[in-house]
Amino acid sequence: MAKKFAKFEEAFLIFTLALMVALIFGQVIGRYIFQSAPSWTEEAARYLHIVQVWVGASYAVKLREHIRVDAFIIRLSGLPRKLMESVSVIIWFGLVLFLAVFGTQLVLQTIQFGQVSPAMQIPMWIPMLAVPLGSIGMTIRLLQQLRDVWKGKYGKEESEEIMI
Amino acid sequence: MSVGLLFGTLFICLLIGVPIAFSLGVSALVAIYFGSTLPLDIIVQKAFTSLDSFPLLAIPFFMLAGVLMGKGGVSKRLLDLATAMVGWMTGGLSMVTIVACMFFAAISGSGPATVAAIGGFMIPAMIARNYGSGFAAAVPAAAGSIGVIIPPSIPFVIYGVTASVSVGDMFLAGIFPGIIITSGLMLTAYIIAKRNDYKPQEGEGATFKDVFKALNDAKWALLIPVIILGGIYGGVFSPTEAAVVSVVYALIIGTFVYKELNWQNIYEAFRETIVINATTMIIIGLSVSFAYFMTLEQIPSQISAFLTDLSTSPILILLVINVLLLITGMFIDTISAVVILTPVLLPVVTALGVDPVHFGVILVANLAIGFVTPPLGVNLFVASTVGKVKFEKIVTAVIPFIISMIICLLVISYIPELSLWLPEQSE
Amino acid sequence: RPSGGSNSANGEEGSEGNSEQYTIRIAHLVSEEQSSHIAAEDFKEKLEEESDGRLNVEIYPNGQLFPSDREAIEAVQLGNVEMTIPAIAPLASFNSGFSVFDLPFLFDDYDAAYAALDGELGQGLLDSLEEDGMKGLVFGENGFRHLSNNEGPVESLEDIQGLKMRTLESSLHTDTFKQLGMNASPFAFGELYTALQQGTYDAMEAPISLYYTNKFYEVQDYLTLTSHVYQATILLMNNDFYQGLPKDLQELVMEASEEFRENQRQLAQQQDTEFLEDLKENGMKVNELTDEQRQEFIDAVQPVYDKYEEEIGQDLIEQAQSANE
Ligand code: NA
Ligand code: NA
Repeated sequence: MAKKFAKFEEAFLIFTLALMVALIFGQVIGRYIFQSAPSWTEEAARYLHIVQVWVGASYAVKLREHIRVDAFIIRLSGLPRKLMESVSVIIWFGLVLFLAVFGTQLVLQTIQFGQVSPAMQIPMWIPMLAVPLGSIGMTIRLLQQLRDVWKGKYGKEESEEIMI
Repeated sequence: MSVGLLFGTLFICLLIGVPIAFSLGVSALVAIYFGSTLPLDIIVQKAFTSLDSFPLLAIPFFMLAGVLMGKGGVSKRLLDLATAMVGWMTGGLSMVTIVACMFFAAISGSGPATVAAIGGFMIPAMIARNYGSGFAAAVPAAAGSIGVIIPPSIPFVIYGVTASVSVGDMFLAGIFPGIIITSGLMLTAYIIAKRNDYKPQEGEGATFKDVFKALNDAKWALLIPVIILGGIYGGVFSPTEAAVVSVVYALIIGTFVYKELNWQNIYEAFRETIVINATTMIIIGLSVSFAYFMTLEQIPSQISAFLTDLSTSPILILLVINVLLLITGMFIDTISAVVILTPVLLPVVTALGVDPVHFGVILVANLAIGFVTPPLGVNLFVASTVGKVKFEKIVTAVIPFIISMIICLLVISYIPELSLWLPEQSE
Repeated sequence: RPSGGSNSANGEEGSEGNSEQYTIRIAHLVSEEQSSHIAAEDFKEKLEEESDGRLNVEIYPNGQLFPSDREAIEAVQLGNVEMTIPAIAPLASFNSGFSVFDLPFLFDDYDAAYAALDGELGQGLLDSLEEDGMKGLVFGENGFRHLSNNEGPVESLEDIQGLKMRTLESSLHTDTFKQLGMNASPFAFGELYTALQQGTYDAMEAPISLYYTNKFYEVQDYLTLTSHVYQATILLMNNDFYQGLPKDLQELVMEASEEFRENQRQLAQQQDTEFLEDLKENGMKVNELTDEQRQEFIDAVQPVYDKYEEEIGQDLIEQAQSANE
């Protein structure tokens, strides 16, 4: 189930990135070849990008790819390391929980006020959904990470290694 | 008091290993909650709106283009070209590494990506030729920093967005400083190689024919900077559009000309890009609240007042700022440093008559040095991983390169024309 | 956590409720030399002095808190900041009634614009903002928007056919310039200067003050005074904050707002004249349209009215147009 979800998430992120490329490339082609470019491509690409970042941030938690300073923490081992890693995950969890709750509130408020986007005229809460969605994803994955910490797994899985 | 909360929380979070993006978010949250009357919603609003920017889209596109070119056989051809050009010099392989990093920098906007692309080939090659392993890994780690000075450059895009300066101007401004840092690194590598008697490449004579052949093989790769810069300055497209065009171009040459891209590694390239992009940009999403809080607390004007009280000499103040930035670069990543420090320092230096474009170059050059300074030196991590060399060994070996970069930084800081001459010519 | 809500941080709450202090943070986009900021300084002074220190006003210019009008409006709506002074065009995303002012060639002159904005139409729209959580105080202005390009002086539609035109990110706006025969598309403001310099775009349109403050005269040779859109601004406050003020302070805010309006408009017109002279001195060639020439443009954009009539509402359009009489 979790595996399937991660696969779906990955496919979704790849698809939206490809769509961003297509939209902006299409805009260049439109301006030069058809002497006319639609007014909504930039906006669509921008909102897709925000989704990329927030949903991608959740995906990156799974891969343990977030950038951190671990110079101090790696000098610890055993129980102190476990405790320190746990505190770090719990603080992180606290922030994403806050973002999930307040992000949902922001979406609900925006639905209520009815703000629309300037170019596509779509309701603004739709792109704004990216923040609570990504944050909810992170809360779940951080709980898993906390469990892994107590199993002694701190780093990324070998097979998932990604070179920047 | 609230400022203490902000930085205290940040320091603790960083120390215990909370990722940088979230450390910034937590400290903004704590400072706003306990140290102000502001509503907390501001953090969520900024989490969305700070990313709602078209110029920022250049970043995932340049990242994707860079990854595609790495997988599409471009790095290899750039290495061959560098070998033909400088392989005959003393310490040949290290010279090749530095020059290849400079070439790769012209298609990649990232420092770590440059290290990975070139270091992956060159670190094992140097170790095999009995170069010290620390030195072998330190060379691409240091030279990778050029990736963010020579255009395209992700930190330049972020600086342009934050400081309301043209990204196109920033790109032009980086060219000469990038070449100067490259030369400085080559000189350093030469001195070390001479002392340790590292030999040039055997049998790889630098005949004109060899260079020409390598140039011909690499011509499709070398066209990329021409397309990017030529496209922007020839009035064909914006930096973001240039980035997308280079993605399409990389796909085409990687698939049809070099024939090294297929569905599988294209998919892999996209997958890598979404991860690097998300982990980079989430830092912007959360550091903007941090910067916002500093503005409300009038920290920029306090720092500005402090610095102007200190001295009225631009030379001295720039020196103080450089030291401050170098220290910052040791602990904080480039992206958050640009977002947080630009609003703080830009008003100070513009009041002294420093051009915002020139200051962007100084800022990014400082932070580029931060790529190779511990404890947070991303290039060191990458070099250590791709080269399988112990972190501690690289840290010692990289010190002479850091010194040479600092000297270049001073040259760039005090000769503004190096940065400003090219953007002025384009007008 | 210091007492939240509308209390100020230094709240010396006395025994009488009416000595309570309020902090008004105004975040806006324009620079310190622009008329809106200068008028906002007077607004601040009046409020602080005449409230005997019960009102404390902090102004954050240059977009330092919110780098776009849209974001600042949203912040006011959500209560993240108390006030802003945006152009009304982005307000249309929050309250569609305001899009009526985006229609091209809606007002013939300043008097017509003032009559509409300060009259029934404007008041109705200001009132309607309360449903969006905002209190619209008064309308200021950025002045009329004009068209510039790098090809030559514009005297007829023929002169602008096919020019690459940068538009605002709004379909009505983009459609307008497409109707005029231009190759029109939106483009990020931050890169606009370079894009015009390099020829990625040939033409743009903006109020005079923007040409001056953002140095667009360096990259645009010809300015044609088309006056195709009158761009109003609005003094906007969070509605809960306003309603939470004691009656006497509400009245003071209204009074200061009206002074802001008169003061700002006068300054804006004065600056427009000065800035236009500066633009000419900096080498921009400025031309005006005769009534006959302007009519050709007006006729050409009629399809835009037809297309958006339903969306905006015929009554609003007619109400606005009647101000020309
Ligand atoms: Na680069
Ligand atoms: Na560092």
